Amino acid sequence: MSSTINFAIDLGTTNSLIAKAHNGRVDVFKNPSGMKTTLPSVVAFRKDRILIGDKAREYVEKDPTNVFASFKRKMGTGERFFVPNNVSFKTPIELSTLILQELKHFIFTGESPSSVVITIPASFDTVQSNATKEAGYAAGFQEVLLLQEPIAASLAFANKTGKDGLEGQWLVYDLGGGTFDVALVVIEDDEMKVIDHEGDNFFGGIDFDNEILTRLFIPYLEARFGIQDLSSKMLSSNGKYNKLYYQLLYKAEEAKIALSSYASTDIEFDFTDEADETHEVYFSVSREKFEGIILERLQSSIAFIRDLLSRNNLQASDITEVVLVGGSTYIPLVRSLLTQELGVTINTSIDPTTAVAEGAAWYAGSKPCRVVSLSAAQEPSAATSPTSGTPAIVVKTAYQANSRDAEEYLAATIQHAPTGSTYRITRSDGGFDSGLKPVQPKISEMLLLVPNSMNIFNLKLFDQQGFPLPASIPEITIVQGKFSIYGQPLPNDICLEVDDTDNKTTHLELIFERNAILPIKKTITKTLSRTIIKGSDDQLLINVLEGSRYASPPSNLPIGIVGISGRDLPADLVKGSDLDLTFEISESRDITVTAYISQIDKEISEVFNPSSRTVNITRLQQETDYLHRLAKRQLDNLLKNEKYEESATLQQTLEELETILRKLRQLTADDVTDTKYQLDDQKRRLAQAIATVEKGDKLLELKEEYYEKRDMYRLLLLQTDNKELQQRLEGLHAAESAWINNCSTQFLKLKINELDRLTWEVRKKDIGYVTSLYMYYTTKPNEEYSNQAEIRSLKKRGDEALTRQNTHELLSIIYRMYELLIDKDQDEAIKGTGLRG
Amino acid sequence: MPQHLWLKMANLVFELEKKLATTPSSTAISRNIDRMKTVLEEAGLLLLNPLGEAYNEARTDLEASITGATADRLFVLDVIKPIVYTQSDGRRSLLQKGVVIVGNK
Repeated sequence: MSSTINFAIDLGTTNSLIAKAHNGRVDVFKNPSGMKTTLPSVVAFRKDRILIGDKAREYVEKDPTNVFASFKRKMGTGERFFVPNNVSFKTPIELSTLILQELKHFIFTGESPSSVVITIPASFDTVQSNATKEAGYAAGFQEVLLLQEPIAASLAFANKTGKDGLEGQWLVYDLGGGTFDVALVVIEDDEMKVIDHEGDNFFGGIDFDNEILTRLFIPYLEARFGIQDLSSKMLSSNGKYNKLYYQLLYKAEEAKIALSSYASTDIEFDFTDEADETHEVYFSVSREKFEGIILERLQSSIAFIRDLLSRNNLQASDITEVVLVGGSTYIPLVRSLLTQELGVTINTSIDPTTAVAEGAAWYAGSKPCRVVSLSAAQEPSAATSPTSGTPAIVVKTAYQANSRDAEEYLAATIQHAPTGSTYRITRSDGGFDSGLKPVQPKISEMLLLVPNSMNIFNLKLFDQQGFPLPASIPEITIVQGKFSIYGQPLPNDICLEVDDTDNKTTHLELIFERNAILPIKKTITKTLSRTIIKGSDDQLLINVLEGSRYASPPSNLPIGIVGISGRDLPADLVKGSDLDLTFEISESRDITVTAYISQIDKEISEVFNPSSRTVNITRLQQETDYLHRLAKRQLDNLLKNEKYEESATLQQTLEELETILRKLRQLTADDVTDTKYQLDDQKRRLAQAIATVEKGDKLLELKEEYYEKRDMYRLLLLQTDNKELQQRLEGLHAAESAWINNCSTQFLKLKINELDRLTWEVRKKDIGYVTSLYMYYTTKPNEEYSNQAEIRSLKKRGDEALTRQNTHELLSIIYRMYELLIDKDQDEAIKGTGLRG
Repeated sequence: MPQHLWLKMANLVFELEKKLATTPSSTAISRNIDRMKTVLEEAGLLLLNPLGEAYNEARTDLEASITGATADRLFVLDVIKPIVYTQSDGRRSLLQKGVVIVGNK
């Protein structure tokens, strides 16, 4: 049980909000659908459901007889609204109840408050105030406290700026979306009071949007395209320009918001003239122009203030400050006009949109709660049904769990729900909400699905007061598109071979993971690791392989290779330029590789299928040659260590590789026989044999290096407080078990490189380490660098940076020194694919 | 980069794509747009263009201005801003409602 009320609602004419005071701070809750804090105070009774908020507002103009807004103005009157769609009457209290119930859905913490503070305008009389309380009780609150809006706003400011910020008499200037209020507030005998107030129920931000539309956009379009009476044509519901009206109204609002921050803004839209010709329109609106068209309306708000002051025998100088409330007070002219006309300090220290709700929550946080607050599980319906002997509610759902359609049909039966209950289906990502619908024994709904993904829906039941009803209803999960049960999973990883210039070898980069569902498509951008000269025999190779991503490239099955030869190029392909690669595998396992080289605007596309394997002879030669060198090195090692038995096997492997190389030299590039496939198979078998020998020899050494570096890195991280890097290390550690016992040496080297990079991330911030690095480069003779004049200047700048202990500056100098070092790449001699890993 | 800047970028990419759809342009430009969309996806944003899709009042992924007669079936006739979801750790949530104009086809 909470000892204070904590929850507060700003039940506004245009928008409503809910907030909570908690642990000395206030949180304003967001609508789970769209994550906005504001809920438009609009209710729509559509044919079979009730919509509240944004969706209801969309129908205000189209279905005015069934949609209700601004009903707050009618609180406390005997007025009732007829709803043709369900042939019933609704009172302003009932409509307000629906808004309050909807706001309860914003509370994501699972709490169900029994007590609440609801704000009311300063103008509300006793009857109107009681009507608001009644709405609160009908919405399920057992205790409702009322608080005047200007007081709530003042409290928000007082809590932000401290009590000293509000002394004497001040004004609360509230200019919202559609209404304007100004209140004179004072602290008397330690009590904050509204002395007097004034307002206009038909003045707000929407008027400014309309002014931009009618006084700027329309005259411009009429003049430029020779159209008469465009305004009427835009407002006619079946008129040619009706769509344009809504477009431009949205653009006008955008312009208004932008002009609060910038001196001018550009609007662009397409306009189709009377001759059906479409034009692109660019329209610039300056703040000056905007202020010119709204000045008159804003001055009328100042006139309200002057009236208020004069009837209270006050001068503007008697006012200590003006507290701003409502989104429209972001407009700079509002602020400057108030300062200029009244000469009073403007208080802008808090968000004017949420000020009333926040202030009310501060108040709620200080007021003791007189009733027991319930958790969701203890709500009236939950508490009574199991003990009252009423049978439990039973809900059964039926739907297709996999769908290829944009929508999927859901049917359900609901038994033993109390009379007057409603249900609601929402999608967990906030993109679908059925609205409130009356419970019937059988219900159905078309559920909108997001393409190619998993869609999770929740069906919930509510009693008449909006409390959730206890019912065990599992989540409704529907997979749309690619995860269809008809899709086939990939049996192996599909990888791309890329260069590892640091280790002078190539390694595999994962494109599609094993068990991914077909069809599948992915585009990646790679960078060229060397320049391919126009007219040369050099080739850029896009080698797609099937097998484990942890293995070495030569031991995986090549399933498609695209070679881009220098002979086919219209210009050199420069090292560092980008290449777009799109890989696509169809359900029937056709693999399409499309390469686009932006530098020469050339696209190369090839389709491979499993029945026609492609072997690139040049690549095969390179790979065999590389394996031969590797095997030779291994053989030397074995002989040095007197391992004669293993060396005999390796000797045979070497001879077989030499035979392959000999045969390859005799093959032409367009050979049509099976020889290249046979040679490729032999090469793969030999690659696996070499990898096995290498594993025994090299892998242990590399694993030791990996563990050592990992532990060193962990120690290094413990000295820092970098949570992000610590998490990355834990991620690396957790994933080890998947590869540590079955990876290639190339893969292990990649992981060691990753640790080196992570270590560098930490060390580059350590001035001691950076200094030692700088000393290493600066003590090298200038002759070892390619540009001696530049290196002299760098050393001079470096020494200065050293005295300032400036890590960033030193690092940039070190990077440049490394670039200038002559022999850094001397032994970089791999041919590879030409794609940087 | 903060998420609101990614969102701004997503809206600009969408506008660019929309303009290209109405004017003949080189495939190279479309390719760059696809690359930009891939980058946005890598940043965890999913962009959807609901143009031409059926509209109903349960679509909280859209902020609609309704033209024409509401009694007939409604469709998305124009998209001012795309639907944008954020995706991370397998969870998706609506970041920006699609701003659309709906009406009868």
